[in-house]
Amino acid sequence: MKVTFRKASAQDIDFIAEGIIHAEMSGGNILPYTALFGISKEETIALIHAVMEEEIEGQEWFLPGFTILEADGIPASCLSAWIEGEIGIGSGVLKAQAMAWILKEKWTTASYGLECLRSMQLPRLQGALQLECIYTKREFRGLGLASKLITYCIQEASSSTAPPKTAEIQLLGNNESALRSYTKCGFLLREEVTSTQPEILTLLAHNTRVSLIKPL
Amino acid sequence: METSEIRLQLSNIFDSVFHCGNIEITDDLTAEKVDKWDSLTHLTMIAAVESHFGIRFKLKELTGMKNTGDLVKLIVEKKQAV
Repeated sequence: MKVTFRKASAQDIDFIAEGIIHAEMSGGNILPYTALFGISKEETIALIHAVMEEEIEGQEWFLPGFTILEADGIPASCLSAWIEGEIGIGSGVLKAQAMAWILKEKWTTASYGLECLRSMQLPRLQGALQLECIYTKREFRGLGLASKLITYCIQEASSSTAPPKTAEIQLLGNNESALRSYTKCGFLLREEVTSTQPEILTLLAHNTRVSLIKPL
Repeated sequence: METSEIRLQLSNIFDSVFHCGNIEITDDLTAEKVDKWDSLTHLTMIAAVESHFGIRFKLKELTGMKNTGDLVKLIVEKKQAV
C-alpha cells in the first residue's frame, strides 16, 4: 500500500466532517452537537462547513490545519494540528466564538449543557502541538495509519522555524484502542478529569477526559 | 467616550462575569491571567459588552481579538462609528 500525505483542501471537508463526528462520538451513540444544540447530523456537517469557511486559525476546525493521509490515492485518515495559543487566543475560545456566532440562539439555549461540559474541560498546554480529530476510515483501520499520520505531523511541526517542545492529544477515557495506539506512539498521561455530573452522559460517550503528551 | 471610561466600565463587566473583583483592565490582559475566563465565560463577557455599549462585533473582529487592549480599541471604533 502506497501511503502519501497532503494538506487538506475544500474537497476534503465532507471526509473531515465524517472524521470529526466519529471522533466526537468516541465509539458511543451520542453526537454531542445533537445532544447540546438539538441539531441533526446533517446540520452538524453544515456547522462544520460554516466554521471552516470562516478560516479561523489556531483551533481544530481550520481546514488548512488538517493533514490527509492517502492510501493508494484514497483519503484514509485525517488529523487536525495547531499550536495552542500561537495566535494569542486559546483554541477553545476561538471555536466557541465561531460556533456561538453561527448557531446564535441555539447556542444560548444550550447554556445548561455547556455548563455541564465545563466540568470536563482540560486546559490545553500553551505552545504545545495539538493533535485533534484523528480519524481513519473503517476499511483502513488496523494498519497503523493514524500512527503514521501522527508521526508525519510531529515531524512537520518539528522542522518548523519555532518547533514545539510537546505534542498533546485530548480524548475521552473510553476510547481504549486510541489510548493504546497513542501510548505506542510515545504519548504519556498528563492529566485526566472525571465529571460527577450525571447529565454529562447524556451529552458525551464518557465522563472522563484524558490529556496525553509527548515530549518532542 | 474616553478609553479610561471604557476601561472602568469593562472592569465592572469583568467583575460581574468572572467574579474577579477590582480587576485592572490593562492592554495585555488575557484569559490566561483571569481565573474564571474560559471559552464559555468569554462568550458571556462578549455578550455583556455588546449589550452594555450597544454595539455588535463581527466574527472576524472577535477571532482577531488577542487581549483586552484589542477589545478596548474595538469598542472605541464601534462607538465612534455610531
